[in-house]
Amino acid sequence: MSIFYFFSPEITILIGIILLLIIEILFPKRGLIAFLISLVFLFISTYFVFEQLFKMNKEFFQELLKTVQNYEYAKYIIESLRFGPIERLFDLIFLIGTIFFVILSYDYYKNKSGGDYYFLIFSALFGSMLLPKSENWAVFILSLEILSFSLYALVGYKRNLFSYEAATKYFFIGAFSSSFLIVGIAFLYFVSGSLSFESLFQNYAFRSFFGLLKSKDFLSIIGVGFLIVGIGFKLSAVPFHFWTPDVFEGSPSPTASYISTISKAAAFAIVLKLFQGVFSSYPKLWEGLILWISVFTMIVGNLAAIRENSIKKLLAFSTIANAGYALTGIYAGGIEGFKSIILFLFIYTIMTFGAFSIVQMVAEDDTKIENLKGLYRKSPFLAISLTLFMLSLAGIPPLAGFFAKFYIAYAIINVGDIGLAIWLFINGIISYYYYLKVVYYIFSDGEKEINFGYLPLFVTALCLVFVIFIGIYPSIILEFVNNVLNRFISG
Amino acid sequence: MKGILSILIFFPIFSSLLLLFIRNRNFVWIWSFVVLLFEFLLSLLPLGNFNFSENFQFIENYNWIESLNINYYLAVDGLSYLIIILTTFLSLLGLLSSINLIKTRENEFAFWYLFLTGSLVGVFSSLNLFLFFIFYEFCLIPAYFLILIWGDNDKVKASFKFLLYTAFASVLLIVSIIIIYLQFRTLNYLDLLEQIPLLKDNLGLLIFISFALAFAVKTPIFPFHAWLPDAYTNAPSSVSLIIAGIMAKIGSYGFLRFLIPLFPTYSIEYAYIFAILSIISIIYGGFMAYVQDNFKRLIAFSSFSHMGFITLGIFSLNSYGINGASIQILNHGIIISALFLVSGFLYERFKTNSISELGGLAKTVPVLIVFFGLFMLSSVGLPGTNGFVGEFLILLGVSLKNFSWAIFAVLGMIVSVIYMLPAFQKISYLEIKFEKIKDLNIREWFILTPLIILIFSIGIYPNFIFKFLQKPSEYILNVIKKGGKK
Repeated sequence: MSIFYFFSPEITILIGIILLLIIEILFPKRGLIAFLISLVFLFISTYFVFEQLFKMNKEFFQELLKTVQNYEYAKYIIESLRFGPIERLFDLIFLIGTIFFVILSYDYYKNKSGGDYYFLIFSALFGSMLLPKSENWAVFILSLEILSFSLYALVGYKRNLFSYEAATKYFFIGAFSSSFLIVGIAFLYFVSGSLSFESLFQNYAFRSFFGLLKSKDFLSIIGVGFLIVGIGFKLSAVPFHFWTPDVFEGSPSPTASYISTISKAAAFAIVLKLFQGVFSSYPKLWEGLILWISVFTMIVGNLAAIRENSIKKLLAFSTIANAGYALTGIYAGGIEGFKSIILFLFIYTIMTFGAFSIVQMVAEDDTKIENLKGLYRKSPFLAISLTLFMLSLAGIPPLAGFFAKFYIAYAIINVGDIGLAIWLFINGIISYYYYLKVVYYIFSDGEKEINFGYLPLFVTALCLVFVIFIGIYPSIILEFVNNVLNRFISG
Repeated sequence: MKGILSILIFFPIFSSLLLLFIRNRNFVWIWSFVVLLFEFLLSLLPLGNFNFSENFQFIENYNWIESLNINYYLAVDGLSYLIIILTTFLSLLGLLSSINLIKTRENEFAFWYLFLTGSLVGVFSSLNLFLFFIFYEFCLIPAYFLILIWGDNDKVKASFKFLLYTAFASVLLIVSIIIIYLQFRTLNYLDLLEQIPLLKDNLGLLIFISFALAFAVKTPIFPFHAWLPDAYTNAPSSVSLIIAGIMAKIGSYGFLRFLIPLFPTYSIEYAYIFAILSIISIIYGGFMAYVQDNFKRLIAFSSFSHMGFITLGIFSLNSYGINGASIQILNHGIIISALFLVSGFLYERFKTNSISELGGLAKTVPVLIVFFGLFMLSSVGLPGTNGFVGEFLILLGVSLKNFSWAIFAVLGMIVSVIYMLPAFQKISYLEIKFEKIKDLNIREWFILTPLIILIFSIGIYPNFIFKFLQKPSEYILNVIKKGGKK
């Protein structure tokens, strides 16, 4: 097998990036061409990911290692990036989400954007694909910055005052958090004397094995503290969540949905890797922190959402609350924890894109929840779909959102933390209030203008099918994840 | 008969979807009436095949989530089958009674109504805890919107309280379901029964408490009843009928089906707590009903008081008590919905629920008042009506268990006469305040007559109901006997 085969999804995206830039030069501001080309590349990349997921087992990796020996530089790639099944499963989430994003974007901008816009999407995707795979701090910070910088540009792409405001805020917060990350990394570099995750892991494992790991390792504590602050901003975890509602309000719906799903999923993937992988032999260092951050993230997100009367801001707070739920999955850890995170992020991505695809049609400029009145009179299908997405986000059975929450709770109780599971569900109940408030207004009488589009409608329908089908028959996705992981574990 | 339970659950749910897209008023009522009539006839269909010597029947058991070993497991025994018939029957009557009551957004009303019927049938027929929870949680949503959109003055507060109470109780329920799953890797009720006692020590007690709490809120028992008066009063009467007549039965049904069989030792040990709370409910509910001026609120508190009898019967944990409670579950469903129907008819005519504003109706609407009188007598437990059978058996069971409880329970029965008769008097007699108005029309005759027939036929010859209840109560008593030994 050729070496290119193993990296084919990433290479496809890279080629796409270059091609889109060339297209922008040849045919400036031709949205349709760039849109179609990016769709093609996304589908090819998704196909490659699927192919690898169905094949992936131990032999696959031996093959990879053998092939790498023939190439002088390829071994550096293998040392700094890891292409395991969990990383590939995350790729799937990113790719599916980006396909939705591209479709929504084309409807939003039509020919006002060209190859440059899709280039930004692709580089954001490239950054998020690399981030969970990174095996050392340099790749970590680089891929994170690729992702973040593309997002800053995407937020400001609408070129109006609100959009600029949101982009500026997002940029300053992002740059601020990156500086925290780099300081944290510097401290951790002192601990292990190397940039690679592996050496840090070895360091902790060695020291804990020989009982040398004191309860207070100050360098590590400061390093991880800075790291959590930096990543907390990206996750919009409490108390680093202030930027989220403002940025959501100002940015176009497609971008907001991208920030709340893909960039979050990427950040969760790396948090999962860091805390359940690199720091796994030193749980005292981070467990309490993650636990309390998740506890407060849930409740603050939900309580703030209750008072909100802009649908976009409400979804922003719901993003915060959901980040809290996902963090509990990271706290749980273990194989069930991995599964629960992947399922949760996948289902959450689908629900959020579904909700935003409708928001784009009905509440893009007028985000007040009260102004959703009359949606049911105008378009029963959109009203019912938005209702189902809201109910699913609230976690009401038998929709997909319930299963996601159920599995997270299952993973938590599996490690023996019953109180946290109860807290998780109590937060779900609090969230009923504001999600059902939206539903109430959807069905109220009134006049409603709809900015109808077939492309967002397509996304809505697709997400709706997913939400209902996964909710009623969750086996289909659960078995898929199980198969991929089992094949890898059992060889 | 295979698949009849699934059909009963999903037929109304799927047929309701059509209502979302067609808003013609006539079509909506005709369609939903036909669907519910059909549903009622369907629910009668298994009567012919019902096997009285077997416990669970019409079993449907399929793999659902394979890697978690969760099954789609439906089955009914005599008790749950009768409750399902009651569900479809009361839904039909409730829908008929709401034709004049609901004047706005009829299609959405009928949609949620059919949805509620389907999911309630699901609650009473699922024998897998996960499946049970899904239906249990899901039937909240239609009920919430039915109160919120078509309710009276205080609807926002009422619907929210209703949602909050039940949903918070369900939090503990789902967490304990997950704990049980982690212990046994199965959630099928029949498999779990073989593992008794489920869990010991603190964890077992925690699970017991959470199950008990979930059902106590639904029933409701004192002190978890704060949602009840508001919800029953502010919901349109056809919805209060379903919530009081059927949804509240999830609680007592849950005690009988899940709590006692799965946790016999704890149930025996803590039965006195439930009994004392039930007695408080009976008496407190009675006195609260006495001071109400709002007729619906009075019915709500009377329902609360009578549900206390049911739980008291259940936790006397002997044959009389459990048989009495089982039949009283059905009787209470019939009586309370009859009273809510009467309140709905009165409201349609006089636009008020206040007892002091009504008066002399025996002259104004004589036939309706005759019906009302009969329902009222059944509610206070007059011999010959169905209310008597259940309450008598329950009192018998309780007095065998603990005589002092029985004294208090009898006190409760007297209180029910004290609040019901004056209310009847104030509404029907005293000064005449209204002009002669059209008495019952054909539709209303059609709604009330079957209820009267049921009330007297169960009252005079209850054996045709007990035939169904014999096996389930034997089963529960066996479990109690076995659990008591351990």
